[in-house]
Amino acid sequence: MVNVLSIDIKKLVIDALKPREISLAELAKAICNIDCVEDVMISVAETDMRTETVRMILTGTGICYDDVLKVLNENSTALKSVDEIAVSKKQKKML
Amino acid sequence: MVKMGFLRRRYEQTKTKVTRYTKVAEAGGLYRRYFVMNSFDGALAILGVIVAAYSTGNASARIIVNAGVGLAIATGISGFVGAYLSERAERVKKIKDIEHSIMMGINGSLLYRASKFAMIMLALVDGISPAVAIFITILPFIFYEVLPNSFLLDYAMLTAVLINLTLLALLGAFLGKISQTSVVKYGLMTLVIGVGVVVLLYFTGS
Repeated sequence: MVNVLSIDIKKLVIDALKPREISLAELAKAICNIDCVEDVMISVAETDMRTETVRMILTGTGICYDDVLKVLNENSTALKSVDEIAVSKKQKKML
Repeated sequence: MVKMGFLRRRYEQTKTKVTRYTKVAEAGGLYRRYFVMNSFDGALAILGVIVAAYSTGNASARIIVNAGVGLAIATGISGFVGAYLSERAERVKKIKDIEHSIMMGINGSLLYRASKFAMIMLALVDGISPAVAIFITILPFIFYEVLPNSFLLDYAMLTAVLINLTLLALLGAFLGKISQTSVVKYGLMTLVIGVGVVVLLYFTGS
């Protein structure tokens, strides 16, 4: 048995720009579908004729940043900035 | 049993996908509009052909069936190609505008796939709906060609006109249902238009 250190993302707060055709519900469900994302909260910060700037708070156990980017791209949403990130360290026993 | 379960699952998945794409592409209203508009076009066009042929006094079922099939093919192809090209132009522009606004390419994304899906579906609706309206109307003449001694050509003509007018009334009723107003009022409106076409062509023909 070996002790392995794992560093996991627990919380991500990101600003993104999405077209108005993609609904908040659709986007939230798509992100929540990612493994290890447990809760998603999205609020609209700004709107214009074609787009909405949204603030997303993702919480979970070991969120994969690349998967989040992939889902955002899939839903025609551009990542503007990562405003907050919370990570934690855990020792895991592995064979 | 296993096959039925698999088919049912596939059907549910396809239905969910179609609903999702239609919602994202905002195409639900367009499907209805294209369906009604083009069915109306097809129905009135074949009604005109039938009444005009009848008023010459020399109509034959074969000529009407051939004309109907030709009209169905021509309107079908024209509807498909016209709708596809015009929808494509609009949606490509919309995608470019969105890409410009979010400063990111959206090739392959949900919105892109939904737009492509809507383009093809709208073109199919535009092409198939007039063809179906024409085909339904000329069915009595097809039966007459297959079983020529079973009834008179005049009865085939009358039946075709009645089928056509019923179709027009149903299209009108459908519009009334969509707009959540009087189904009867819209149905009567389209029926009166059909009757007006019959009367106009009959008297100008004779």
